[in-house]
Amino acid sequence: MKIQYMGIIFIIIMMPIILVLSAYMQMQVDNLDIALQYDTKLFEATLDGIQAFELNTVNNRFSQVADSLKRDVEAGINTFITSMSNNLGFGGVNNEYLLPYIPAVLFTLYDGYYIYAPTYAEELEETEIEDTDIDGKPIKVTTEVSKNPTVFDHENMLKPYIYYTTRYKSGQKTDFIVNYTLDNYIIVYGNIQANGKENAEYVTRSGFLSDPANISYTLDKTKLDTVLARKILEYILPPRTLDNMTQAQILENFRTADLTRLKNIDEVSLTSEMGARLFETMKNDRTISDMRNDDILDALFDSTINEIFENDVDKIPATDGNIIDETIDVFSDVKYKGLSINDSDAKRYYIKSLRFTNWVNNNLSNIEAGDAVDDMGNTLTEFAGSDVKIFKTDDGKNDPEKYDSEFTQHRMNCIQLSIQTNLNTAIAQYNVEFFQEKTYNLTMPLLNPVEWNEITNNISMVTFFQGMKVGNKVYNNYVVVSSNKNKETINTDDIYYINTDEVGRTYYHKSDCPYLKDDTNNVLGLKNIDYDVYKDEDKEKNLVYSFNDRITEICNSTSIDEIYGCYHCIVNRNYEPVENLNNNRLKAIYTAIAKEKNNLYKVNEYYNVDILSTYVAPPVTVLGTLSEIAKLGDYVTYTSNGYSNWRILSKDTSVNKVEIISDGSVQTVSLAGRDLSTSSGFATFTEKVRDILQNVANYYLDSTYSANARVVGSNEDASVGTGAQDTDIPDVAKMQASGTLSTNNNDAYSSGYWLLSTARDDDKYNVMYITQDGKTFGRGTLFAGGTNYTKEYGVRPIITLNNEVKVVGGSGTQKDPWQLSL
Amino acid sequence: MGDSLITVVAIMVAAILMFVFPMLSVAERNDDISQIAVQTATVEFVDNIRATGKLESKDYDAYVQKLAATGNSYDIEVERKVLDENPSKKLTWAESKKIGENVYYSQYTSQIMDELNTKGEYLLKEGDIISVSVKNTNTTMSQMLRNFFYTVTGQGTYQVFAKHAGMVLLNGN
Repeated sequence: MKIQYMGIIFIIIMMPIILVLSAYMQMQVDNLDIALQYDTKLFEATLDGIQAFELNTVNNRFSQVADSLKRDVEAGINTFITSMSNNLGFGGVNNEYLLPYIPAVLFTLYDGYYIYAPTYAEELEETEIEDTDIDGKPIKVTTEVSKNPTVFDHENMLKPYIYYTTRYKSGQKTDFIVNYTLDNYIIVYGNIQANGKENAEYVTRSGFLSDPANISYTLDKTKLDTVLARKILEYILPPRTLDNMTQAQILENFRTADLTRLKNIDEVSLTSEMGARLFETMKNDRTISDMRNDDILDALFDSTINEIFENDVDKIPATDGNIIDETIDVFSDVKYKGLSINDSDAKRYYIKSLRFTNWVNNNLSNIEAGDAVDDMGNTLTEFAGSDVKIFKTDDGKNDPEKYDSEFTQHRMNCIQLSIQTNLNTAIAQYNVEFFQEKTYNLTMPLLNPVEWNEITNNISMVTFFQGMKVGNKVYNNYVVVSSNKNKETINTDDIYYINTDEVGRTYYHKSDCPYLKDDTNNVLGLKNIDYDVYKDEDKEKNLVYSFNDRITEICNSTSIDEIYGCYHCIVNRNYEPVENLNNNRLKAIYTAIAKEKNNLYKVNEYYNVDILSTYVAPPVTVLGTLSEIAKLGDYVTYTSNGYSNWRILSKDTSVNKVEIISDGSVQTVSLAGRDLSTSSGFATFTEKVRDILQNVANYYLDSTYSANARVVGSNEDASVGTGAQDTDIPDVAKMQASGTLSTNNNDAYSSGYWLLSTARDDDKYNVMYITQDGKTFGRGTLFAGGTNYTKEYGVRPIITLNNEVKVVGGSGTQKDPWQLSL
Repeated sequence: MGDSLITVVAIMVAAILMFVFPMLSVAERNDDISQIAVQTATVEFVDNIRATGKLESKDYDAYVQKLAATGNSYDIEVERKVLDENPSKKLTWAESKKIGENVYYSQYTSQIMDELNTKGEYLLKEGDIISVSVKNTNTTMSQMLRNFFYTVTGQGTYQVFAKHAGMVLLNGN
């Protein structure tokens, strides 16, 4: 065969091969090219989405309120879909065509996340119904109602907000949920059995967890007492009488106030039970801040401090009696890592954080990562066996504000787990709904650790795009985009600091910029979005520029009207950072970050404020009847008209009869001969004295617990006549037996106390008394030789308790008296 | 004699048909693949900068390696248009004819590479525009073969070229 033929045959064979190969290659190249275009388009659309969200939140004053935030998220997702369909050439009208290719959009926010996914939901139709308006006129209202018959269909929608929660179970009784956020703020709710307590208690607490060693403050107890006293007195004293009172006067008024009036006032955030217990505890010196060993008082204390934080406290007068016209902080000397913090918002952050941290360390320090369980209560395999004590932050090794701390790592894992689980469910659901007849199944793509890191620390949007045909292949991809210019989170790098340079120009810098002047200790830092200029049109359609309120305020107070970004650290961003930040810089950072974090909107912060109304009293265990348990001289909690220091005088176990006597005089009574009808004879005199003293005793009757009251010393036989032996008085014997004769240490009223016994020495009419050391029996002469005298001593009532009184707690000592119940 | 001439011509034609055309075709496909690989790498590289706000030397090295894997040598040009927001920060404008709100100045490859070499990263901010363009500097096989037939090549003519640009969406920290 000629070589020419061979050539032709070769060409005949080779040419198609080359052509087919070339066409195939070209197709592959085209497919790759299209896939690449989709990549870019998906990325662009996601960026558009997050940018729409940023724009909406930054310009929306109410963006941090949950409902408004949901609207912003929806707007962001709509922007994404519209942008995507425009990019792909569908046009905005046909964007529904795109929906089947979007299995899920994840939108993570500060304390939880939204998933936008197809959901099987009931289809509703709009209809007009008749209704009436406020004035009763008939109007037509458009509303959505179920179709008849009911129709269910797939619809792409925002699923309900999911919080970053993890449930922990430890032992038999502790079972609670922690709601994590993108920073060190956590919300704890559930049953927690505190260390050393027998029963679990339901708690709801939230706050910024930190390392307690870093924060310190001084609590001015007198000022706090003044605030608390003032708060309570407002309900007792006539309006506006408090306005001009000094600190000392407020405290004095509180000491003498009739607190029982409070019990009936609804507005006071003291439930009746709580009020009762508060008054019991308050009776001694009425110093509220010292009473920290009681749960309820703890709650009251917390609520008051919260109120102080929320309302900036009313004016508290100075200690020296001069009224000064500014708010004095109850907390002073607030320090973070040894540096004084002066800004009030920043102070609040640190104080609240320390208080919350101490609570967490006291109650949750033994919880381990391995205690995390799923909805069904089964241990989560991801954390199984881990003995890392995530909530223990007081050992110096676990600072939740640091990225590499155990808490932060666990928090990120929990958030990741929660998102993964729910996203998987959403995508599986999507498979069922859109691809049940298709030949392939879509699964959630594996996100890499860098992406998870981004998602668990920033507000971010993750879009999934799956199932679009590209040539002979199917295009699947996802994009993670995060945002650091929004109102929802705060990061150290997002705070810029203001400075004026030598020629008088004001610039803002990053904290480690060499051009930031650090020779003063009051460098002000604000969040990056605050420096944005807002543009608007005025009536003449001119562009009007304005800074936001915070910057405007600074501009006004310092008479600057221009603030520029530093050309080194803000505009260019590539600068030589300062290696070692000095204390002024550190202080500026600590202050700014705390201030911004304190001002972040937290959906669940109300948990702390509402702590009073959610308080559930622990179950009561009856220990027995008082007469069986208590010994003579023991202390009991009996409160009536503000006096609550009572001891057991006598008891009769057979009928459960117990008499209690006040530990000291309850008040001073002045007996004057001229008021006692001394001229009508001794018997009338005795009667009058008894009437007066009995009246005093009756004042301390409590309808719930007591049967009757009298004043000590009522012995008929010994009280009348001349020469009766003082020590014959039976009450005195009882007092000697129970060791309650002396009132030495706790009698604030006078040098002794009256007995109900009168005695006559010839023409002298006497009322008997005992000195406060209990050693001397005296006869107070009120009438002698036709002359009347006046004498003043204290009074000690004796109360006979109801014979159904039971003991539910306490140990009978002065500090821990027997707790009574019926 | 005439036969011999035809034979020689036939052999040459056959050689061209049998070797050069397939080779040209394969070489061109090869360039297409290089092109798509370079385009993919460039888009990924730029989009990563846009999403993170920073250019790290490890990313840059990976990018250069991906390009090198195509067997060609490339010239990479990076340009960052730095947004100067300050002209828009004034609350009051002295005159109505202002220069504009957003002014950009540029930084080019050498400045960016300097920064990258000394610090290992180059930071950008939200609103900046980053653009990267690459073209091959060597002569690829298909260029060589084509030159053999029809000389259209000259200085600055390149076969593999990719460009991608976009606005940065995150402040680099």
